[in-house]
Amino acid sequence: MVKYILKRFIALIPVLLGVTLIIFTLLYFTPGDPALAILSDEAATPEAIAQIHEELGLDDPFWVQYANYVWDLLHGDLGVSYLNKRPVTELLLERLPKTMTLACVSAGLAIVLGITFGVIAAVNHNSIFDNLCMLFALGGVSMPHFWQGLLLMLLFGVKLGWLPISGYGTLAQLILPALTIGYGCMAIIARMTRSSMLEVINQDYINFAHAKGQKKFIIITRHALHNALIPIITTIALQFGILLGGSVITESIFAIPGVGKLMVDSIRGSNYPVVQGGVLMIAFIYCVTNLLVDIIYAFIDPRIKTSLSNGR
Amino acid sequence: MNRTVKNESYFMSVWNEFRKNRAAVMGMSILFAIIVVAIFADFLAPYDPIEQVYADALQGPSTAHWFGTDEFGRDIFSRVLYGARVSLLVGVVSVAIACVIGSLLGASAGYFGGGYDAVVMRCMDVLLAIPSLLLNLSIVSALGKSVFNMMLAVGVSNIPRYCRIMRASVLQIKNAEYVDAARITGASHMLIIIRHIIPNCLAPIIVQATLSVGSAIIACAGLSFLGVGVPAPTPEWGAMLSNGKDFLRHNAYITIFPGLAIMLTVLSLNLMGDGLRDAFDPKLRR
Repeated sequence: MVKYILKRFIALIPVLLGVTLIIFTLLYFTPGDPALAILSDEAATPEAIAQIHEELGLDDPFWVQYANYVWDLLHGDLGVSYLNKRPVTELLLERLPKTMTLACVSAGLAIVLGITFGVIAAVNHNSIFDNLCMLFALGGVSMPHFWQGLLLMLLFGVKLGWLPISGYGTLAQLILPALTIGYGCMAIIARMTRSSMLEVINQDYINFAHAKGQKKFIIITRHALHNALIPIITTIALQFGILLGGSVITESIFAIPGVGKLMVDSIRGSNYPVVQGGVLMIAFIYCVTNLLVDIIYAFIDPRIKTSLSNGR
Repeated sequence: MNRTVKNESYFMSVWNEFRKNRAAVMGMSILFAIIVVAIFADFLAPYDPIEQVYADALQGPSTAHWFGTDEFGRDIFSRVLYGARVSLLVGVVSVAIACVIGSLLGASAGYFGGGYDAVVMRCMDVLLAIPSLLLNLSIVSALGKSVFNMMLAVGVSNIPRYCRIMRASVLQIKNAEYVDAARITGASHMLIIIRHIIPNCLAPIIVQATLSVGSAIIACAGLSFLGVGVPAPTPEWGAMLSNGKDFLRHNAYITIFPGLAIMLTVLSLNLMGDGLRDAFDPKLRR
């Protein structure tokens, strides 16, 4: 098991290196001179531009710049923001807890509601409950989440005045953004739970549990759901990337000072070190989440655990 | 007793199965209506979608302007109709880019295997490691704001999905007898992949493509919403939502109608995609 985790962790390194190469290449070829983004219009004299090129090594060949970037990265240095000259690592770490809190609350909502709706739909297959749950889920996958965020803001913030429509700090301020990001993910989890449950619900061991007189709740939770969990967990892991990506737009709508909003502001202001750092940080979190999910598989599915311990 | 054996093709039997699904047929009908609207927007739209008439700015829905007007006095109904053209185009073209490149990469990786397969799949892992919205944003920032660059960005971020599906299908059939037969007759690898393997792996790709057009439309609308998608004043649903958010308190209709248009289009594609998936699935057809 330890060997497996170590192997998976080592496999992360080339992936992350690939991510750095893609992001670095894209931003390297982005039109515009970073020196001009750093200097104000009056200060942008040819001498000042040349000095910044010298300092940042902007005249070096592509591979030299990339190697320097990776070397700095290995030392925890993601560069300096063009805007306020603060280290990017510091800027990102300052905002990361807000983004992670939003992503985790949204994920929690999506998982609890998604699995509940999926199970209700599967257990009451082809009934009115099934249709209602799936209609609700279909709305979630068809609605752009930024539009849904604006509608929630309009209804609960502007018209009813129940919840604040912007800012960060209180639980009330977290509800609308979490619902905005979580609804789409909840819909996907509900659809996957339903189809996965439908595959196991007619198996012989479920019929046997019924025949044995086992309580329906126990059969559904302990026998059916437990065996339907693997594809659901895969879906949840994939949704985590969408949650992190979704925070980019949602934080902008609800004025939450997280990594997502910082990145949007940085793209608009051509503040590329922050964009590079932000993408890399989110990609890293996403990869680690997937790794954790793979490890969880081994604990949930005894077949995977056995195959690992047999070295297969 | 005489029995007539009905000899229907595979795609005909899929179509017959698809027709039985009322939700899927409804989705297809809605989509057809949206395509008609997109094609004939020039004739259906009552006003020029770009012309600014400041005297008519921020008027609510009325008989003159069914969906109201925006802050520049442009008719929202006309802009929603023209927006269908842009949104469907970006959705279809970006999925086509992903589908063609992803399928070819996946088919060749599955067919040849070995080191080539490993390299292609690790590249796909790298692309998958970046949440798609962030990858789209980075690509559009690098290439600049235009409709084509937006389609390219959304297409590139969808490539891994098709590559994986196609590779998995190819691994299942690459040792089939008809592929061996083609090999024995001296057919080249390229011919085997294009003529014998890809056509037999199309079912999951068609389903995925139908479902992806909806998510591609949402992704493009998201980029426009962030101000890095379709440049103004082109009527595009995401950009219209972005403009409308500043007037949410008193003129919510500016936001509501383009959003409804996106939802209806994506809903129709999802219903159709679900129907196609069920029709293609032999387990459900039994």
